[in-house]
Amino acid sequence: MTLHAPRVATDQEIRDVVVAQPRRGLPELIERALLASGALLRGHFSLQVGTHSEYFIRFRALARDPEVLGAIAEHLLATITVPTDAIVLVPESSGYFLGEAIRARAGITLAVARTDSERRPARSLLHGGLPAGRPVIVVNDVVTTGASLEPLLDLVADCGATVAAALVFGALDGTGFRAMLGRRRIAGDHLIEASPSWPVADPARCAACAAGGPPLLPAAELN
Amino acid sequence: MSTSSPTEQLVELLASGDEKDLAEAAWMVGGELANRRHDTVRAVRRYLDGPAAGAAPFLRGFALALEQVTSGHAAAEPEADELAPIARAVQLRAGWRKVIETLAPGPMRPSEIAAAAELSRGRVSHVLAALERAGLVERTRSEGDGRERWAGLSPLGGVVLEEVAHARGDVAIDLDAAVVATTYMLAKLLSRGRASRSSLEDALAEHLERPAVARIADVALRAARDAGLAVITADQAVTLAELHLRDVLGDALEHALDPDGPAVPVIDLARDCAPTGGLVVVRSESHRQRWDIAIARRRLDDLRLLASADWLTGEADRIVEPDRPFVLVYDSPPLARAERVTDSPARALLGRAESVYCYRVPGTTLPDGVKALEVA
Repeated sequence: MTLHAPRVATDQEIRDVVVAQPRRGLPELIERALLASGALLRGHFSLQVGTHSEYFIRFRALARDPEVLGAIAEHLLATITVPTDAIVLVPESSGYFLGEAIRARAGITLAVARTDSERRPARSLLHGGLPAGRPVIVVNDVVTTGASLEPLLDLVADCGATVAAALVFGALDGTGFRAMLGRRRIAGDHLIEASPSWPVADPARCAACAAGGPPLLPAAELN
Repeated sequence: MSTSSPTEQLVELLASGDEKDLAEAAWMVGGELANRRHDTVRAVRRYLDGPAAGAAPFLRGFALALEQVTSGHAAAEPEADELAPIARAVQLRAGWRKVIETLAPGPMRPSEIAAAAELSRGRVSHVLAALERAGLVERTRSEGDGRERWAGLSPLGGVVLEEVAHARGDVAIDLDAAVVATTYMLAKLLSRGRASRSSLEDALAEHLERPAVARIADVALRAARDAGLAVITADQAVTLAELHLRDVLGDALEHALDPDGPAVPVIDLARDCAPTGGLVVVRSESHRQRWDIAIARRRLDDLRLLASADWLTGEADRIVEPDRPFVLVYDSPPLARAERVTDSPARALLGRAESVYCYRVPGTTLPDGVKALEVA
C-alpha cells in the first residue's frame, strides 16, 4: 500500500472509514456531505492527542454548507433537552461553526473559549460569559476520546456554571468518548466515529512512519 | 545506561554537564514533548528545580525554555494550580519582575511605576496588561482621576513576589542559554513534523523577552540550517516589528468577536480595499481562526479568510469565486514575502488579484508591488 501526500478521500474510503450513527437520514447525509466538501483527507497526520492517523476530518469544509451544518446541528440537538437559559461554549476553532449553528437553532447565547498555541481548547474565556448557576452545552467539531473537552468542562466549573451536555460532530474513539461522558456524568452525543479500518496508531507503531513517509502533517495546521 | 528508562537517561545526560550531552538531552525532551509524555517532562523539571537549581547557565536556560515550551501543555494538568505561582515566577521576564518589585509597597499609578522602575510609559502599560492577564496584578479605577487606573499586586502576585525575593533566588533569564535550548527543542519538534512554524513563533513571542526574539530567530535559523532542516528559511524569520504587528492584529480581532461591539479599525482598513462588487480575501495563518470567526460573527460578507488548508480540501475555489474581482490582504509580512518566492498555490491567486496588500507597522519591509496597510 502506498501512501500519498494529503488528498481528498475517495467515495470508497469515506464509506470504509467513517461510521455514522444509525439515525434516519444521517448516514446518507454524512456520506453526501463528506463527498461534496472534500472534508475527509487521506494522508499522514499527527492528531492533537499525539497519535498518528491516515485520515483527518477538516470540519470547516463541511461547515461551509449551511444546509449540512444545520442538519448536523439538528441531529445533535435532538439528542438532548436544552434548558431555555443555556449557554453554548465553543473553543476558538472550527468547532465554533457547529456551536453557532446549535446556538442559533436553540435560540440561546454563546461563549467562546481560548485555544492554546496548538489550537487545543484552553481553560479561559475569550468572549462572552458563563454566569454562575447557568447550564452550559459544550460543543466541539471532532475529538478523539473527548479529553480535549476537559479544559472546557473545567472552565465551566471554574465559573460556577453547570455542564448540561457535551455535543461533538465526530468522536473518533466513540467508546472512549461515551466513557468520558459516563465518568463525568454528563449527557451528550456524537454523530460519527472512526471504523476499525481507519488507521490510528501510537507514533512508535505507526505504519506510515515505518514505511518512511509521507511527511507528517500536524492536525493543528489544518484546523 | 543501557537498562535505564528514557527519563533516567535524560537525567544522566543533563547531570554530565557536557555540552554535547546537554544538547542530546534537549533533543530527547523535544521528542518527549512531541509525544506528549508529560511524566518525563515533569521529571526533568523536578530535577532542574532541585539538584540543578544552582547549575550552569545552560541548565538554567534549559529549565526556562522547558517551562516556556511546556507551560501550554501543562495548563490542563491537575497540578497546574499548584505549579502556577512557581511557573509564573520562572517565566518572569525582566520587565515583569521590575514592575512586580516596584509594586511591593502597595498599589500605584502607571506613571509612578514608570518613574520608579525606570521603564517607559508604553512598556509599563504593556507589562501591566500582561500581568493582569496572568492574574498577578489587579487594576482599580482611582476616585479623583478617572483616566488612570491604579495597579496593585493580587494575592497571587504577592506569592510570586515572595518567590522572586526568596525561594527562587536569581530568576534572571540567561538569554544565550535559553536561545540554545529553545532552538534545539523546537528544531527537534520541527524535524519530526509535530510542531509547526507557528508554534515556534508562538513560543518565542509569548514566552521570551521581546528584544531577545530577533537574536533567537537568528540562532534558530542557523541551528536549523546546520541540522539540515529545510523547514525554516530566512524568509520566514520574524522581526520584532512583525511580532508586534501580530499582537496588535490578534487583540483587534478579539474585539471583533463581539458582533454588537464597536467598529474595528483594523478590519475596516482591509474592507476599504474592496474592489467594486468584489471581495477582500484575507490570507492569514497565525490568526486564521480569529479572522474566520470574526467574519462570521460580524457578517462581513465582503471579507473572506483563506488559509493554506483550504487548498487541500478544494475550499479555496469556493472561497474565492472564479468570476468575482478581489484583492488579497496578507496579515503577516513574512507570509506575504514567502508566497511571492515559493511555489505555493497562492501564486496563482497573486496573479489574479486586482491588488495585493499587507498589514505593516513602521520598520517592516514589504515585497515590491505589495501595498501597505499601516497599523500603529
